[in-house]
Amino acid sequence: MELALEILPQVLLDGLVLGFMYALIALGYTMVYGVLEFINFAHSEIFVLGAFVGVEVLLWLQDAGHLAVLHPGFVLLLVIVAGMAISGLAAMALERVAYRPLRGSPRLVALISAIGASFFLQDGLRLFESLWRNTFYLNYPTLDVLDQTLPLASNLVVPVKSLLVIATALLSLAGLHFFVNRTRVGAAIRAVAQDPETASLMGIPVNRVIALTFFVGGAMGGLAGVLFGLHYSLVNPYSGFAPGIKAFTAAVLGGIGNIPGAMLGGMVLGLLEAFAGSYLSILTDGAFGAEYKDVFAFVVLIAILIFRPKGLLGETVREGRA
Amino acid sequence: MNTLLQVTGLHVHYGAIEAVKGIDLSLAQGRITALLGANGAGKSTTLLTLSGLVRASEGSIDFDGVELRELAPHQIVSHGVVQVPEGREILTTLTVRENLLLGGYRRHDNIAADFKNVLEWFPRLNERLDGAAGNLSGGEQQMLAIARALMAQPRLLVLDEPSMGLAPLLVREIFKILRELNAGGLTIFLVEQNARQALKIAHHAYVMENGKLVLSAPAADMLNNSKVVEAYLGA
Ligand SMILES: Nc1ncnc2c1ncn2[C@@H]1O[C@H](COP(=O)(O)OP(=O)(O)OP(=O)(O)O)[C@@H](O)[C@H]1O
Ligand SMILES: [Mg+2]
Repeated sequence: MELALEILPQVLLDGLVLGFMYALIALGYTMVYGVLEFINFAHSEIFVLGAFVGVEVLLWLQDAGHLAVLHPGFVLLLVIVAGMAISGLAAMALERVAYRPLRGSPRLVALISAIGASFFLQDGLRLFESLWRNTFYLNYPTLDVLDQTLPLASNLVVPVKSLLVIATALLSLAGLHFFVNRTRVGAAIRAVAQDPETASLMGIPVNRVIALTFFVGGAMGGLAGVLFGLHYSLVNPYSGFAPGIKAFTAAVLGGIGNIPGAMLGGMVLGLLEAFAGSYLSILTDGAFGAEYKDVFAFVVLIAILIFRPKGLLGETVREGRA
Repeated sequence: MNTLLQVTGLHVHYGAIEAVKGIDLSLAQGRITALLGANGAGKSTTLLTLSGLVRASEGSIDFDGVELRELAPHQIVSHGVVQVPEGREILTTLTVRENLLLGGYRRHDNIAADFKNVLEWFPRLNERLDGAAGNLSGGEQQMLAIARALMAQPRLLVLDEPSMGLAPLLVREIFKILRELNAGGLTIFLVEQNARQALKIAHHAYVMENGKLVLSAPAADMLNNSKVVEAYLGA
């Protein structure tokens, strides 16, 4: 039991890092669901794309000899902005090419298109990196500042990279919240999510708003990808699968279509996973090890969804026309 | 009298069903024109086609020299044709203020003045500005729907059964506002089942039956000819 208490702060920290990562990815699923009522299964690849943009920018800086001389804050900013921009644009292109032509057809058709797009992006990345670098397993170059730690207490050593994840995620979640709830364009996104026909009668260009939603959701996914790479170092084109599934689950857990719900769901899932990973074996005397953490996390999720089928904060359901 | 909108040979299909079967109609600038008819006559389909939400299979829609038929709904709003759709579709999860401001989404000029103006027309909305629009009563929602349309600075205001489901007192209030808006120069196209009320404020009226226009006459004539009203409108 003493051990359990001893590691608690560290477990919380790990859970927060995971939780913010899931929350960022979950936003992409939930925002797109909000405006189109459809699950963009290629979003996990938009996330991975962000991670690859990050590693490519860093490798490029390294090869050019800039990495050691540039201010690390500037380097991080550059990597993050590049990852967000390219993932956002890719998500927009995906919508234009793979989803918009199918609008109005049965939802399963768009879903299959999303699954196809997901394979296409995975293998496209693999092909590109295989040709370009001869390998598609890439390692993030080390940034010294990220590997430093801040010993806050005897039992809490905070790696700077964890702080980076938490601070960046908080900042962008706050920014997104402001954008969606306090700006004109954000109100247009909510209008389209609620009722696209009425929104169009109000003069809102629905297609442009949908494209923008993909951009914003994609950029958040790309940011998560860069943070993922900076934190865990190794990326490959298939790295998106597990985080993608978990973030999707987080979105459902919070209430699909519900933006604060995605943030909450991500946090709950991240914390659950971290707790299960550290405490399962302690609490069961070794009967269940850390490898059961996903099983445990999902059992809890299923239990929550049994009692709250629309998620913690409630699904947002589009109103049909009379 | 100038013609603001001219519809010619309009046909609209839902799959194999032909809901509008070749209609011609014109709206005079500065006037109120009513479109009457029983359930399922094709009135809403006609209006949705004007706004670009439903596509015509044939015909043309000329609005002051601009062909609207191929335009997207938001472009049609930009040209000044603004619709208050059937069933007072407002954005219930947004606040009243947001509904109003989004009504002026296409405009880039200062909309603060219009915001104030519109609230003078509909003072009840003033107290509810920051509440969810879904919490308004039915009548207040209809007023919000009209107010929101006015925020777009319409040159032609199109309304689909604004009286639907409202108490008589409220219906009178809304029709009074429509008449005043028209007195200020606004051209109005009004679909109604409440034929008598509509004819009282309209200048001209059309009667639609089974996707066709079966009658076109000055509103006053229609109102005075009780046979017409009974035969076509059952009112
Ligand atoms: N989305 C649709 N799909 C198929 N048929 C439709 C659709 N909307 C309307 N219709 C059909 O088109 C015809 C005209 O309908 P419309 O809604 O235009 O009538 P309306 O005159 O507005 O009737 P009401 O007074 O009841 O509102 C009806 O036969 C209706 O069943
Ligand atoms: Mg109708």
